[in-house]
Amino acid sequence: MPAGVLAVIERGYRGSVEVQYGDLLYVCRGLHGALGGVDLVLRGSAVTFALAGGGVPAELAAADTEPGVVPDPRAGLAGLIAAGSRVWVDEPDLRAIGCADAELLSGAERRDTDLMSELWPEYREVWFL
Amino acid sequence: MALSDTEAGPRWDLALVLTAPPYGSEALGTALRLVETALRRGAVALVWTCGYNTMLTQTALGDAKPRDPADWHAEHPTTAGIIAGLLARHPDDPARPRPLGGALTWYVCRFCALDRGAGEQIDGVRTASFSRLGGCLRRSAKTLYLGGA
Repeated sequence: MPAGVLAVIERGYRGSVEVQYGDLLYVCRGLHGALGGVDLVLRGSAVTFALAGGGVPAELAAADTEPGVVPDPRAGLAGLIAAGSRVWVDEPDLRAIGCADAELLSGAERRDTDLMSELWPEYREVWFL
Repeated sequence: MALSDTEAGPRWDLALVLTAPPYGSEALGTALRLVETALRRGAVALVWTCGYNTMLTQTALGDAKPRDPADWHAEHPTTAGIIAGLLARHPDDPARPRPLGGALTWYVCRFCALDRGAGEQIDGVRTASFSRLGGCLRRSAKTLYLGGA
């Protein structure tokens, strides 16, 4: 049974210290609870959200505060997967950046997401975020 | 480090012009990392912001972002709070002996700020006409531009 919303993210890294915890994946987590579930398609630069072993982002020394001042998309994505979202990662875009064989976060699936439009009828809403 | 552009050289060691809009890339994070590193190394630095970057230092932001409902006790500083901290740690006081750590001047383009309702700026930020930019850059030894419309 697909989720209510299929969300497509094609461009990652939209903001750092001005965004902090409230990044796109945080929005998806909110939609996941509010709209009957969100499944996610990552394309373009957003495929790197799903790369395992990337570590946590370097903190911002300028902030002189506790950690957490810059977004951590891998943690956000892992939280979504743990909450039940299916996550597809575009295989051609992974290949394009030399990460064809890279390990993905547990639960994330490789797929040629050009074909994902075939799934659109199964979702109530399709969002391009 | 030079304090004036009269006999001792440029007024600023580094000018960083930030026009790339926030919430669209990592430009702001890059700018703050560059500036903080330069200040830590003792540089006298200037930041000039245009466009939506002028909203990053408006007083209406306060010091703390709205709380994260998923992590209620965590505190998250606003950009205004972060930049106020940088300015406090690196005051641009010409009387301050060098080298004792860097000094920061933060300019906000008046037109861009007023055009976005961000005329009220935090203490320490200087609001100036865009026509001042050329003079600032001429008085800087090196300029970095983080651009975009």
